[in-house]
Amino acid sequence: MIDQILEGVLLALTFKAIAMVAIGVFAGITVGAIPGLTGVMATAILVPFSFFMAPELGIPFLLGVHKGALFGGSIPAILVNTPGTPPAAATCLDGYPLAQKGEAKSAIQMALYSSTLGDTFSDIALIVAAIPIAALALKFGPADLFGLMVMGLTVISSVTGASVPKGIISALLGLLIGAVGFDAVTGSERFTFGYDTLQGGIGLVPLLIGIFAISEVLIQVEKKLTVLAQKPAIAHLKGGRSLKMKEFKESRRTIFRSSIIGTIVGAIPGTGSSIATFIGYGAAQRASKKPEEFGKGSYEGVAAAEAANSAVAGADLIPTLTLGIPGGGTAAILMGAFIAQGLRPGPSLFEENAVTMYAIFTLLLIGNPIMLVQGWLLTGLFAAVVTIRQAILIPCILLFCVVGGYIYHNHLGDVELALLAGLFGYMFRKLKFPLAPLVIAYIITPMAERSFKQALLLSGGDYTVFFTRPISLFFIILAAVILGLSIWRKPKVAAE
Amino acid sequence: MGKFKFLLVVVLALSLTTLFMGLGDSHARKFPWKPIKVIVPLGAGGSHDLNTRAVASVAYDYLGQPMIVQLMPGGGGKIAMHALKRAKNDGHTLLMSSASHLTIGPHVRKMGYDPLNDFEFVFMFTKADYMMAAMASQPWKGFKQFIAAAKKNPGKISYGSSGIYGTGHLMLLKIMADTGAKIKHIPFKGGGPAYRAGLGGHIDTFGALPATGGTLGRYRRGQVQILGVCSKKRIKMFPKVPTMIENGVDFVLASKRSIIAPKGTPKETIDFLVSAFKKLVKNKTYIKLLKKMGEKPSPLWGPALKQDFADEHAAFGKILASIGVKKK
Repeated sequence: MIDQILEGVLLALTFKAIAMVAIGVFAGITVGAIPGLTGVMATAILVPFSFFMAPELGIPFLLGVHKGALFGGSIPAILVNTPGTPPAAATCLDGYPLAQKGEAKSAIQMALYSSTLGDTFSDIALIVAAIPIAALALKFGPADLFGLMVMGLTVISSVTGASVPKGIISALLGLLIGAVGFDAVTGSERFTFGYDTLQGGIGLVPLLIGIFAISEVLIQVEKKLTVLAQKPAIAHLKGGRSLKMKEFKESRRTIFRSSIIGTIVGAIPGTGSSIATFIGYGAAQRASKKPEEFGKGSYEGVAAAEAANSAVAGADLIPTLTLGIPGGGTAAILMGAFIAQGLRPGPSLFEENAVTMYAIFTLLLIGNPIMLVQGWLLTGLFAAVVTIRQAILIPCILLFCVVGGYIYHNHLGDVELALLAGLFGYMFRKLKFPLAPLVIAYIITPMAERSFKQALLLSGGDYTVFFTRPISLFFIILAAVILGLSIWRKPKVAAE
Repeated sequence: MGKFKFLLVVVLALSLTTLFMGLGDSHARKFPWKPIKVIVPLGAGGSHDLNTRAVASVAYDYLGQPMIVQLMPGGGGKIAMHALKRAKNDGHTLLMSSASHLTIGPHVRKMGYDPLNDFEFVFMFTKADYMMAAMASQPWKGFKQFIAAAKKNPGKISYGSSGIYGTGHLMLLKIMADTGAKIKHIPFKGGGPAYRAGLGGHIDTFGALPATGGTLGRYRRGQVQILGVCSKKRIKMFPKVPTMIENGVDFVLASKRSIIAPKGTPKETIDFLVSAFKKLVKNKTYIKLLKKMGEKPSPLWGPALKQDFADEHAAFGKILASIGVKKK
């Protein structure tokens, strides 16, 4: 095992690989800094392009984008009170008041340090947890795997959105979409309506581009073009001072607390940075010595929000890589990238591709200091893109969506599919349905169905097999408890 | 510079580029002038994928262009084969084929392509003899006892295959037809997952290749028993393992990895690829990578390769017809 780790580290320590991470982080921060462009959207568009790189280059590139976007979102949040990405919403609360006091530069630095630390913490958690979890899951039989998928689906649909029924509907629709194509066990065609493109099922890349990127484009188009700031955002940075060591030290505990919260929330499938951020922010306010400063320009507030949302980055990959259940929207996209690169996320990933995985882990860690350096040196540049005109940007994004959809299989049908998925995603968002359960359920469906049928074939059609095997029973009971709790607790939350 | 002027320059630059690109196309360019894409019709991390990646890892030295692996699993290979059929026949899109979608699939379902006439057969890199394996801890030892046990408990003993109408499934169908035993078929997505389910004790028997998943090591340690190998003669690596023919099942099957190209790919292009691949199979790094998987190069090209496919196609057609499997 040690020689595999060494081989992986050596594979990672090449100029090309590190450069790819740096490009990814740069692209991620830029995209994150542009309001309206989210990290999920950027990764969805860039996935098909990563197919043409070697796994130890393409995957770290996308991970860099994922990381960068989580920090990048804080830049417009602080400068112009507009979160660049949804999880940066909490950063506005304290970041913008700080900018108004002329402390934009130090606030961005606080965000940068806490983001980097949160991300590093989370990456270490991933590296430590992944292999033991995968080793445990390797012992699961078909019935156990099905139980696990049921639990995964339940968690996803009950924790993602504000409404449990909407989450469940979204997940069920994802199940249906995942059922299109060939039946895994009998080999017969399902729901293809004689349409060529549908024979292989609805492709992951067209679906992701449509649901995450095209729908976002439509949402942006609908908004009136507003001028974000009267004066260029960059002006806020001029003459600002750097963060003092004392200010950073005061937030150490907050960063640590938020990192733990972000990591735990991130590891639960279906939850994402947005939820982690608000939990982290709330916890910091309750524990702070100066809670009255929160919302009026507290460095601790910025640190709490940013450490929590970046700490999701690594932890999101724990269920994704070890169990094959995506931790969230971006993780679902990354899972698609892993599959395209010949790396099958799931219990056997670390057995089959140990060296590549160690290389990816190494680059994941290296990405953090890279982000720190870029954030430090290039803040002015990133601030300049904050006020980029949407009228120019949005058509470019749409172009990328179409190209990305096409190069997936060199098939025009996939582009049509992406556009349709975009329209569908737009309506879905308008009706306030969460998108993550749909995508995650879509990815899980083939695995869940196969395990279900295999278990039944083995038991000779006896359905009790799911309840007589202890591991399977454990997951199913857990699923029922989670569902029960979320339904029972919801009205209380609403009453508050 | 005014906005209009700037726009004009951009438009001019773009049209010039397109013009030159167009010119380039009409002139004879030396193949290959861009990276070569190889489609893999099966899932990630399987033996087919690994084999293709082994070729791709050294291909640049022989082709002068990188080789890109693109996975297109699903639909029993149908999606990948249609992508190849649609692709431009300039030699820059190739496919690493396996039996399931060329010599088995077309017999059992409508594929929408003619397996023998819609493609050009370029080069076979390796073949690995298919085997049937079981855990050594089973109460029965060897093929005869296994069949006896299966006959005693019809439909109770399970076999995990790489997928419906894949190579492993065909082997099971033939075994059941020739011995009269009834065995439960559990399809997995790829040979890897089936193998792991076998090692985990979730299924009783499973298909295997000589060294993928460490078959040789597990066999030597006495962890796994090999019930039979689908080759004409016993193989060197497993001298004590009987062939399926010795077991009374008239069946020969090897997992073959051959590059095929869209119909009408120029002869010079195919010749270039064949001569490059002939040199590639002698590459030390490539041989080392194959050895890790327990395989070695067995190159075949030209009319002999096409004949090999045609023979296999006919043989499997006959087997499926004799078993009574009809096209859906």
